[in-house]
Amino acid sequence: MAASTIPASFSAPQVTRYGLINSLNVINVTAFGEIVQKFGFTPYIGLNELAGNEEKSDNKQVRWYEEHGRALNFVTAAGAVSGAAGASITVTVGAGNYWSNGTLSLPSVGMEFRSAQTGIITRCTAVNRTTPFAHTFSITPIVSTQAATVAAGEELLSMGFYQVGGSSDVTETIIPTVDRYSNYNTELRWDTTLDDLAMMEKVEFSCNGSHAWFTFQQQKDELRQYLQREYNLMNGIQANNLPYDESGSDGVLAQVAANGQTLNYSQFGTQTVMAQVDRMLSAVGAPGEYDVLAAKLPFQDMQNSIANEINNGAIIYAEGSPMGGYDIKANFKSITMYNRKLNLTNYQIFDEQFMFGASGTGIQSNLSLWVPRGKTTGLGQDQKTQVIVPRFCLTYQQIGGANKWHMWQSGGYADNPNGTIANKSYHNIAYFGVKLYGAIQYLTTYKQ
Amino acid sequence: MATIEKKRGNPNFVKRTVEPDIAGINNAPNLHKEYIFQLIRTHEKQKPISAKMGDLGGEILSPYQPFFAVVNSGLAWDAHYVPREGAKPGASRRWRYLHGFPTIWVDEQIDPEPTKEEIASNLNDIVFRNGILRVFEHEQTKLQAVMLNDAFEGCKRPLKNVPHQYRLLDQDKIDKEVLSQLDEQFEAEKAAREATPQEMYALAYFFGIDLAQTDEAIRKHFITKARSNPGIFRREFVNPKNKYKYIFMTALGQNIISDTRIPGHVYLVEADRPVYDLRTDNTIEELSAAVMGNDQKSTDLYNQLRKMIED
Repeated sequence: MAASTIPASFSAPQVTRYGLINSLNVINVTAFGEIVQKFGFTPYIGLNELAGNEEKSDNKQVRWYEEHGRALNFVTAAGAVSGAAGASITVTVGAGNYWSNGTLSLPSVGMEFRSAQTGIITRCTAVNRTTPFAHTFSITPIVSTQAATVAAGEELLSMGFYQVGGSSDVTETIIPTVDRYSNYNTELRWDTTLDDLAMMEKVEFSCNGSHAWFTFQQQKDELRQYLQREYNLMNGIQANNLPYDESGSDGVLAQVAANGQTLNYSQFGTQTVMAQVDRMLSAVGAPGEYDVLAAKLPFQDMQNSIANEINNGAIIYAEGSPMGGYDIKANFKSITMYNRKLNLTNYQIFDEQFMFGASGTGIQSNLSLWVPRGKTTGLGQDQKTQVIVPRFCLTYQQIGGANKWHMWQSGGYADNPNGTIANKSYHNIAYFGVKLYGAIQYLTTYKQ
Repeated sequence: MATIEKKRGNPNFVKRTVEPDIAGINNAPNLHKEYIFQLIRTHEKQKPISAKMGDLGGEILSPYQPFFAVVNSGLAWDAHYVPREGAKPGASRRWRYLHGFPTIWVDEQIDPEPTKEEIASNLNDIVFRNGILRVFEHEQTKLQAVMLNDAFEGCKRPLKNVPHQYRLLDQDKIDKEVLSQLDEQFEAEKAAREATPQEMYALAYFFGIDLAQTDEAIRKHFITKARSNPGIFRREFVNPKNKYKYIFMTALGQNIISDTRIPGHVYLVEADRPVYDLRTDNTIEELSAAVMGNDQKSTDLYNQLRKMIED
């Protein structure tokens, strides 16, 4: 690890004149070369912003609603119950199958269930919801020679009110529940103050003790803020221990860690790990296209594995995708596997060695993030119109009607001078958050 | 021929311990015994709130990640393995969980040789759903795979420094802990109900209960404190320092003693004479610490004040 990539120490916040011009004033330093910027990266969040995957938020807290569970439902049995052929058994509803503080659960008289494990079909004949989180229901096999026996954890899939018989009466209403997700926008701020002496020098000057160029300082602030937004929107979490009133914001990884999926593996294999990834994604109805943001190590593992295990190293797309082909320009290389298109890239934000000059041995050096592409649909607030939302959505606020990246100046040398002090301060502040629609379809993989 | 000394007693009465036969797979498994593993990390703050619109304190779903797959292959330490003839037992071995195979060690998975399909089978996936993984004792290789994993909290000899991701729930231990908590709660509440008014005042001062109210009101708050934090309540209930602090605090409050008349000295107000020289600004803490340390002057003062206040 080259030590030179580690930034020099930062000084105390005061502006002093840099002594490039020596005391005899013999040397007049005027010629200066260009400043070379060495480190580039693929700004995934920035790309989504450019693609319009963003929403302006009126409020610091952003909320969104998603359907809970699937259209078809099931319950598990809390414990094993044996039954004779054709006889009724009483089953306790297993943990995780309750809602409304344990007062509601799925089984309802007349509902039929098919056991996922045995295939036996039963009909619910009685329900007891007296004790919260300990509901019982009785089931009887609909074929007299079969037994309704269940094992602990057995999954009873609801077939609904089926085979209800002639002159049937009204059945119980089964209400689909809605999950309310929330996140916050939070602040990111940078300030730089240049005094008049610094501005006199024009070429090289001292700002807070650091050796700098006038315009480079501002450029660097903007770049730093942009990179930090990318990094923070990936890694941020809600806070509850700040010395002031600030909620913080959950980044992409925190949302995936809570509501998405994680797969740990020891060795990347296309037909093992990739196949398991595909199964995990398919199990939650994932879309047909994913962006795979991989740190350098897993990215190399994937490339090696794909090249070794698949003829011709899989198909590399030339161009063409819903994003109009800029995925290639942004260093994404696409393959199709198991009928799903995967756009692979080395996402440098996860490479702490690349981004920070750190050792690169942290847990993120083995991280890949699988982001579902495209948009999804739902019902608008009027319950009639369809809404279409991006799967990956940046949220932002424009406080006081200001710009998305709000910048202003202050001081006696500001564009509109104010104050008595002979200096000029630049202030940058932005308010951002991120929300993931259908976080369960996001996946992180860690090589362990 | 050596004599074998007979052990006394009926061997059937020897205390037996039942432990999972993780390394050996020799014991006949209990078909119904279930091992429950639970993820360590929870995410309450990031979870959605269900159903009741506008009710922020509503029901929270499972605090765990819905799907979390742990590694199903890798390297692990096998304490019994002899890597070559004459070598000491114990070596790293490559393992791979293959459903239906009698061993997890790759070098032993040779007869039959696993097919590609068997290696890629979904039955080899080890996935926690809503934070829980249940493994039956008869699934011995799966148990082994889960328990020699570096990310398992109880892994005896991890080969990698991986943060712990999951633990084995010990139902007996959980029952004991819950019972002990219930006992503690009962004892704390009993002590709170039976405490004399003087004992109650002393501890009420520690818990910040306003003493300028009726005894019933103080008792109500007192019992609530015992219920909500029984451990601390029981610890402090027997801590004599609280009594000392209460007496000195009350004496200062009733102007029996003063620490401001001449700074650095505790004065008996009516007698108008100094009784203790202070070394710090915190009069109550210093005096009660001195009494704890059997200091003669402060103990005499305490005894005198206690008589004045309580009698």
